[in-house]
Amino acid sequence: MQFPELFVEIMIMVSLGLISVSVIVLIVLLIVDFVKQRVW
Amino acid sequence: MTFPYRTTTFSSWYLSLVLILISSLNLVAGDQRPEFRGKYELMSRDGHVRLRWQAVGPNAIYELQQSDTPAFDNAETIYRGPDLATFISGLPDGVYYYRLRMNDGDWSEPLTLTVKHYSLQLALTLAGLGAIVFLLTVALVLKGTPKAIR
Amino acid sequence: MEHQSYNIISPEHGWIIIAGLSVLWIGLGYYWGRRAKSMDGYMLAGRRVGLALGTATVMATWVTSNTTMLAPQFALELGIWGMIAYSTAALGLLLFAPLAARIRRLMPRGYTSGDFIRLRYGKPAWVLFLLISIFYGFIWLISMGMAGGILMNAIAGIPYEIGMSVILFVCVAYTLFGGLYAVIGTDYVQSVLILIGIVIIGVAVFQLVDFGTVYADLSTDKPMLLNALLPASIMAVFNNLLFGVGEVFHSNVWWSRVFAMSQKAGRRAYLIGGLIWLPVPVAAGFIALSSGSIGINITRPDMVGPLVAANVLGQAGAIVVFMVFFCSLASSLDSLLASTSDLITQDIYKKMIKPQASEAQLRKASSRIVLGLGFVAWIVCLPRIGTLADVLFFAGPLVASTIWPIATGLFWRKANARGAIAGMIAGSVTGLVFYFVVGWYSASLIGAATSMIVVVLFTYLFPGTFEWHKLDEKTAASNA
Repeated sequence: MQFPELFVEIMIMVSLGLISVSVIVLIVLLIVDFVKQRVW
Repeated sequence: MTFPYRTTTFSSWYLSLVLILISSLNLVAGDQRPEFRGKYELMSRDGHVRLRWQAVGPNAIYELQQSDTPAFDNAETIYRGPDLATFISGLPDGVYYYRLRMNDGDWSEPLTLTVKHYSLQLALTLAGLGAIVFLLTVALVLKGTPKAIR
Repeated sequence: MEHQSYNIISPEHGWIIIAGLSVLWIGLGYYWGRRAKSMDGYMLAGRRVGLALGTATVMATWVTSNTTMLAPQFALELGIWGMIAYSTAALGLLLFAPLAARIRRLMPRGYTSGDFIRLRYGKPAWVLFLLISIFYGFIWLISMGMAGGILMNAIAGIPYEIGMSVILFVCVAYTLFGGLYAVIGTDYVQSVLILIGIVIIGVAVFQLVDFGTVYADLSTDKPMLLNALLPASIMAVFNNLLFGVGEVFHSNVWWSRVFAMSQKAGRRAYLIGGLIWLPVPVAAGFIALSSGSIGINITRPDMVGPLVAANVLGQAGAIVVFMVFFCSLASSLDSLLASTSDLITQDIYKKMIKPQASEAQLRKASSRIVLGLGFVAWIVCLPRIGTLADVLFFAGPLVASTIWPIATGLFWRKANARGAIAGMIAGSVTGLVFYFVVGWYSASLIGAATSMIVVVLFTYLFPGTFEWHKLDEKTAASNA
């Protein structure tokens, strides 16, 4: 019983997409913290 | 091979003998059979194995073949290059034979790999147990404390 | 060297990158470390770290060299389920989020996970816990050191002993100067670099080989990797999950972050950090699975990640890989050094040896312990024994056995010391037995299961009546 090709392909593409979004999220979070003066 | 030097009969015999010995040694060295490192009878419970072999001099190009018969019918070359190891994975249950040669010389002794995956029943049982422990842990963590702390 | 085909990057380039990054980390470490004016500053970065840095440090610390070396190995050995199995470690972070909120609320002046166990369960449990925790921390530390040496050697041809020594030295240096400020600050930079690097490599591989080809090649050459019923990997899924949960729940690496973050940030940082980490092993695993289609010979499974990445992108790519690995190593090593040293300084030095120690003395002790840890790790790493996975998985049942004692300790008043101790011992022992008799893929699972049953049983049979306010230790005149 094999994992279907589409399933695997979507899983990988979504993962790569999520990682790209994560970079933006981290940067945005830092900017917000900076503005609110609660970085550390 | 002709000899440009005049020699006595005895020394020419002697010389020829020495030369024959030397060239036969060369022949042997040139057709050296590479050897796998480790055991020649391997067993895998998860379908992967790492094969390693001895280096046989520099500039050697090795060729590794895999077959499901000891006679190597339908053999498949799975590696060709200078590396001294290869990692094979994803093999289903079965017996696999491997042989190795260097620079298109003689083949090595065959190596046998028996793949016998773990019992699926065992796997599913353990997974089931794991799932239960996991779900109970999630429940514990999400439910938290019965009463709010003051 | 078994891998003869090509040099990935030249030692000269390797040294330039190492030097560049090292100067960066040490410089930043020193700069940020100047904020550390007190022990709260040095050990806990002032207790007000915000969401951005909090999230980044959670994620970066969990991306270890294991993620970059072991996750691809899991995929190559155990296929799609292997990739998923590795990703389940994200649940360690996600499940810790509610605990983070609870810990922060109950122990506003807490320092270490040891503090919690001591206050909650008393001294015997505390000693047992410290043994488990320091053992695990040390094994993790060694596996990082070894990984550093192996990677530098495989990618840039730098001799193992030298690469390993340099990495340990750099991490010890900036951790020493800057404490948790340096660790968390550099973690942010490292996390961004890691994520960018992985995307670059992943996308490059995706563009180089058509996914259909990868799938087809796997079906032909390595069919079991696509099999949803590969027994070894099915077992690995929950085993890895529970190992991950055990690691996060007990280790001071994660508790110190909770104490370092502001009240608001803690829970959310673990949630977001966990979600950001989740796709990383999948991307790393994909890179490994494409190795056959690209035509790269894998000589050792733990090198599949760097081998593929470097091959696909050439020199520039090899540099990206090298940078990602160095960052992932540094971001975990620094955390380990800092938190393990904190645990030893607070729990052993201050609480057991010298309760009246002043801040200056504590700071000095802490520095010495960081140095000591680094030195001992270096000695142990030098001979390069064993493989990374074996060494780390051995600790699996030990840490998994702490899950229920810790979680119930935080949430159930009736959870008691006898249950905690019995749970940790029973879990560890049965887990280790299974490790040797059945296999590594069962050890953490059994450890967690046994511990859970024992803890619940003891809670029911010998219910305690713990008062939560006892966890808020007054620092002034308390004798533990």
